[in-house]
Amino acid sequence: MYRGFFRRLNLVIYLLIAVCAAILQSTVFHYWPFNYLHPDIVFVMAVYFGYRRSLVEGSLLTILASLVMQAHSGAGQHFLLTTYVYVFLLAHLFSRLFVIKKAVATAGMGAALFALKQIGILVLLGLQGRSQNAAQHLLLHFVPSLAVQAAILPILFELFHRLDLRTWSDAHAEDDYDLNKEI
Amino acid sequence: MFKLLKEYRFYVSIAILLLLPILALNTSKQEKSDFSFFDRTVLFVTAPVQEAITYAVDHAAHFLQRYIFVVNLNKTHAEVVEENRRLNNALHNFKEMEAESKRLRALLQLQERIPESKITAQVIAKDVSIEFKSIRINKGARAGIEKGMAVVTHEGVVGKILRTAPEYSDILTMLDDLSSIDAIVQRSRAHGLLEGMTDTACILKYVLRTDDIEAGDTIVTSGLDGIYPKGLMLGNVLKVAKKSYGITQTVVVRPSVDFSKLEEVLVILKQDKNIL
Repeated sequence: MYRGFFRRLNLVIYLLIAVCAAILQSTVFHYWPFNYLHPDIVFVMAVYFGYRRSLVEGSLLTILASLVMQAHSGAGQHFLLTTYVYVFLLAHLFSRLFVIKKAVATAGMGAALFALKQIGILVLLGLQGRSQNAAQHLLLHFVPSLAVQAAILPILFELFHRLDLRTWSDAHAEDDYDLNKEI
Repeated sequence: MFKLLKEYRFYVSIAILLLLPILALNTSKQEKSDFSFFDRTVLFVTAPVQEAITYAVDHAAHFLQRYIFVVNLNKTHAEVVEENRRLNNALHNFKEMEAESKRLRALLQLQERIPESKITAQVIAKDVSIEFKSIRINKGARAGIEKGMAVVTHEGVVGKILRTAPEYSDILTMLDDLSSIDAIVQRSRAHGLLEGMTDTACILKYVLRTDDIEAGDTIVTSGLDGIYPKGLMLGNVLKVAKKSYGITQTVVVRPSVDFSKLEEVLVILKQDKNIL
């Protein structure tokens, strides 16, 4: 009975996480030292959904989270939506190519996706004729932001995974597949 | 057909997710849209929290500065800095008046300084991403603010109103890449377009190679764009770069406004031609 309730609550919880991330990133994260580091929590969410959720579920959650961020940004129309959806798709592609279990590998994947995201942002800004000025600013923040994203990705991955185990996934779903289990 | 869609639903989903952002992304339209219904709903929940957090953090920082460190010295220093900024702005205004008189303007009667067509607002939040530089204030359409209005402080130009909600507004600061302000050099009257670049610098583009610009020159608004009144302080020249070819030179400008310490702004409600 409670399982059904928690599964429905899972969407609401992730939406609340996105709202809290928007509030933190628009206020506290602009003060020292976060103004140089600037963690992007919705980016981590997009990567997590790409890796651990199905295409439809993950894309819906990513789109909702990116729309929440869009309401707090001066970016162009649907700019952040485009960025995060493509991050989600890349993460989904990575999930089909690589099996990532260790924290270091997760951090490396996060760093790679973040680098691709920044390149994608430059391309999108270039299409709008704005990349010439943006490149210098992005490069200034590139290395510290990359390090921060790589550092927080494994931690948030683990937290989201635990949240999903309690509200979405069934921890014992694969018990029947244990070949070593005594009959 | 449904059977076909069901069989290839994975590829159809991928195609939709690849195309949807491209269709949604308005690459041809430079102007950003106003708040949608979803944005206003999110804003209704988050903006009061942002305001509370910004208020709390700012006051905590002020408390630490004032009561843990040297109290009187800090107060005196802050008063002196504020007075210095006010005097610098007054000096800049007088220089602008002098330059205008010397050019023997056609208009003999100078307009009085703009009185009360301004509204004060507090900065409650900044952009969620580092790639863009917009800020949010706690006054919106209900206070008479409209899209495109100029936003200033006593130090100079901050930006213009990007979009409005009933109680809150977003400002496109001059640091943003999309920001373009028609500007002139106060000393030589050289003309250019000031665009945002990084958190601490802007770039003055399309200035002719033959124009006289030096490091330290003051950049002010020209008033030609119809958004910012003429003569408002924009910043000072940091560096002038002239290539051995081309017809323009590139000028790096440091904004006169310290955006890292921005707490209150003035929104100019009416579009007046001259500030002086």
